[in-house]
Amino acid sequence: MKKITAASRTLVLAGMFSLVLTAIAPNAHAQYSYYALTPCRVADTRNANGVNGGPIVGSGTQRSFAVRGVCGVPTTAKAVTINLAITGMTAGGYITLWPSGQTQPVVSSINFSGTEPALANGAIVGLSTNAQDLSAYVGSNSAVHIIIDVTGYFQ
Amino acid sequence: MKPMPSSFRRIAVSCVLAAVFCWPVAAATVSKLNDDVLAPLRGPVVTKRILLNKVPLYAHGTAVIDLEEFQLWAPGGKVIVKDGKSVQYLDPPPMRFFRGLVNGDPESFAFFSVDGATKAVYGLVTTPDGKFSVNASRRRLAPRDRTGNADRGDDFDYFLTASDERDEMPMTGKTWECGADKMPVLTHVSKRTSAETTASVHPILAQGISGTQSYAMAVEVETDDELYAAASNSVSAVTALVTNLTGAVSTIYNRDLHTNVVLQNLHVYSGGPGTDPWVASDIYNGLAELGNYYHANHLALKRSAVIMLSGKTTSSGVAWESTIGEGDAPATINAVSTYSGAYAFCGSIGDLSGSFTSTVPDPNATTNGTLYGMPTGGNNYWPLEEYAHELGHNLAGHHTHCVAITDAERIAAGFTDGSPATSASNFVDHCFASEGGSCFAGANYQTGSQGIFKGTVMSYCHNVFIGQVPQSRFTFGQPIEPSHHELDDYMLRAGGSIGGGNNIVSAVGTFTMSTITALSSVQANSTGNTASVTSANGGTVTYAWTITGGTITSASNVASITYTAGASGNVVLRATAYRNGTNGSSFPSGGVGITDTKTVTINTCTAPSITSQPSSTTIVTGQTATLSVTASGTATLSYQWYTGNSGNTSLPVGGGTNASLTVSPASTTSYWVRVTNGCGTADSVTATVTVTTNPPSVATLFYLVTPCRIIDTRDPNGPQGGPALVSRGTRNVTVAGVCGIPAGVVAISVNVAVVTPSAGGYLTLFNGPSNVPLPLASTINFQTNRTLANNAIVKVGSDTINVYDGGPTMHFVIDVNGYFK
Repeated sequence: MKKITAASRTLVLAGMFSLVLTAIAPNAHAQYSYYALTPCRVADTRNANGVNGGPIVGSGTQRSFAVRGVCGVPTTAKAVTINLAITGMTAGGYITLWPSGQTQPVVSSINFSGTEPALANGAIVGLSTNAQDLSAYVGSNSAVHIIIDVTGYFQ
Repeated sequence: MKPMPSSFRRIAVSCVLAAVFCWPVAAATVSKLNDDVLAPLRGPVVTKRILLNKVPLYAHGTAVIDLEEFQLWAPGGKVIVKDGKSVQYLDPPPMRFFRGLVNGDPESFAFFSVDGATKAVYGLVTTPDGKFSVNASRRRLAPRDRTGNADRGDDFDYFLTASDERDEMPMTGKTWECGADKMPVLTHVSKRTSAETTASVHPILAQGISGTQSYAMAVEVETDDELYAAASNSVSAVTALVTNLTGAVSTIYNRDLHTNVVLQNLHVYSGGPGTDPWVASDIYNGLAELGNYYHANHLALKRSAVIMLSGKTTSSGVAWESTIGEGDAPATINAVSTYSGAYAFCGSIGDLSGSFTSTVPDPNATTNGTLYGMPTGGNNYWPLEEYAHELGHNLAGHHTHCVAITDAERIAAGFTDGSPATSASNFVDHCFASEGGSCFAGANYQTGSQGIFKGTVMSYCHNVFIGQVPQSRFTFGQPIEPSHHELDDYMLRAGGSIGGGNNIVSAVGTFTMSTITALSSVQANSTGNTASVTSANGGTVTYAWTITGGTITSASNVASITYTAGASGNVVLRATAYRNGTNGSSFPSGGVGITDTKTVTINTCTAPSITSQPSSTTIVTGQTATLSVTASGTATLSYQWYTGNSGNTSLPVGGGTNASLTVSPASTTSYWVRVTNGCGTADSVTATVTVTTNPPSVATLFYLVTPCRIIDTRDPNGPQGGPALVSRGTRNVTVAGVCGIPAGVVAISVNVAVVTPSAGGYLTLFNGPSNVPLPLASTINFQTNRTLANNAIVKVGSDTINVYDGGPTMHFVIDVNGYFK
């Protein structure tokens, strides 16, 4: 039996790829080229406190990370392909990623239960031009550690 | 007659060794003694008197010395040796002691001791006709003598030293009182039976003592490290000297005062200079610190008197008067607060011509004389005189040249304390002295009308030597029956069975306590600081801690304590361990402890501590990275950044002296920072600034692919199949040429799935070739048995990607849905 199904995640994946398609769609307002990177950890809230470090992101709160300028992502990058991993959650919920400074969209970047020790999802997210260019919101009754690994960028 | 009421105390000082007197020299002769005369003393213990016959004490005849064996040490008495780190309890040495009189003469006395190990005999005999000492000198045996004398039991020659000092002056005074009646009666001191006593009319009993009763005076003897040094650093020598001295004193007291001086404990300090508790350098402060020390540390230790036999050169002694049985009372000496009581201080005990060595000439000896004999004459009588004299002050009171005849006679003579004496004939002896104008200061001795000095052991005459002979009698005065007063609250430890001369020498235990283990400095107001000691061979040990500059927060009677430091200055910790009676031996409880003191500095400065570490980061060439550190600690904190790994100070960063550091290295570089203040340093972790090139990759476009399986490790082994990926292993997967992916592809968009992993973990997908180092990143996280998928865009290198397994050995599947090129 070779077939692998991941039906429960279909909605989430569709949401994510919509941005990819937008970014490269012929009718989009801008066309971006993709630059691949060796995977690189941009942020890890388990580390010492800092812009891209701790503390853990609290329940119902948002944080903004600084993606451009690290891991080889240039300040001219418009979007990044990432792997979003989470851990430390004790209750179910979701996390939304979006370019900082914009209205938080009604989307989710990963959905989780409170029983999994760690979980990850791939995503393509846009970046703002703020110093802290990527916002994250924890829609959960639990605080969640967020780990973001970048694998490439669009510009 | 009481010289002064018992409630009124004063100190009495024996005068300076009066070598300044110059009088006709009396001759001392030394002759060899046939040691067969002494053989009975080496025989078995007998319960009746021993006679030494034909002792050649006189120029034209011999004497019979009538002796009884007596017990000098109190039951349970110990030689307590302290070296500053441990206390060793030794049983008394196996010496036997004998006392008696010569030819029944009540004005004589004889004392002999026999060393139980060497059988060496020492003796001291006084009669009205002279003073004699018997000394053993180790013999150099000729070969033929070794066999011929094999059964003699010893290898000593004996010499009799005789002075021709004649003790013929009768005492002018009559009687004077002592405090012996304050002591309890020991009914078992004498080893004679009542029947023997009645039948023998023993000469000692002829002193007016009825039955077999006598008093006992238990003396705690202190010494100092100076005496130990004077005794050639020999515990045995100090012990032998003190026991011989005490035995001779006991013989004098037994004869005159019906009192047995019992040696309760002997304290020897063997740790070298400065390790004893005695720092005073003069007799007054010496007496004061003795009183203070015993009042503070040994108040509950029962004793009749405490006497210090000091090796310090003071040439005199001092003691409190009439204090036996009175307990301690606040007093001052030379403005030093102390306690008066039955305390006496004897100085210059070790001033015996530099050593305790006998001065007996012995042409056959390999060395001149032998160690720790009895005082042999000359100034060597000094320790005995002084010991008996100062202890006599505790017991009796005044110098006998200050004591008139009776109350009625004294009043009739107009003599009261503080008023001048009016008649020389009213005093017990005529040894010249002036003590505040109140004592006999007659001119008789100045004119020599009395011919020679005479006095009792309680007069200043004991300091007057003519030639090598002291001009005192070893007596308190006329033999008297002690009067009887109240016994009151007198405390005495001596008791139990006294008898037999068969002491056993053995070390019954060495009780040790370690020095205090504690940090040498602690933070101000810090809590939970610990200090501890350990002890060995202690049986049941009691500890007592005291502290200054802090507060003990645990129990203070245990081996390990915790304490809170004060705000500044020092914490002084003092621990004492007491050994209680165990191992079948009776140790003085509460009286003998080992003490250690440790001073801990209070540190009011808090060393730096890093509260936020610098983080590693990645920059593109030409960009800057800022590393920051946050630290706590007492101001002012200073910073120095270094390149390299934490702890390596060889490469400081110029100008890198702030809490944050902005750098722009050309290549990947590690940094760390050391934070310093006045009391310490803290090193940060190593933070690495990784430098990548810009642009790191090429611009690409996305090409859709019909979803297609690149690899499924559940398939048979092959480039697109198995085997399963082993835990911590990396699989290099070729993607070009598969599923329509062209060579030179830059990245692929995939869905990666894990199949029922046996444990939780993660996979990392990254670009090839196979020698690309594993980056700190993950692509999918999973838990046990959870089949799970995630999408990812993965950079391709050399047409391959790498799959690292951060979980158990497991299967994975990768499906591609597009690529960038």
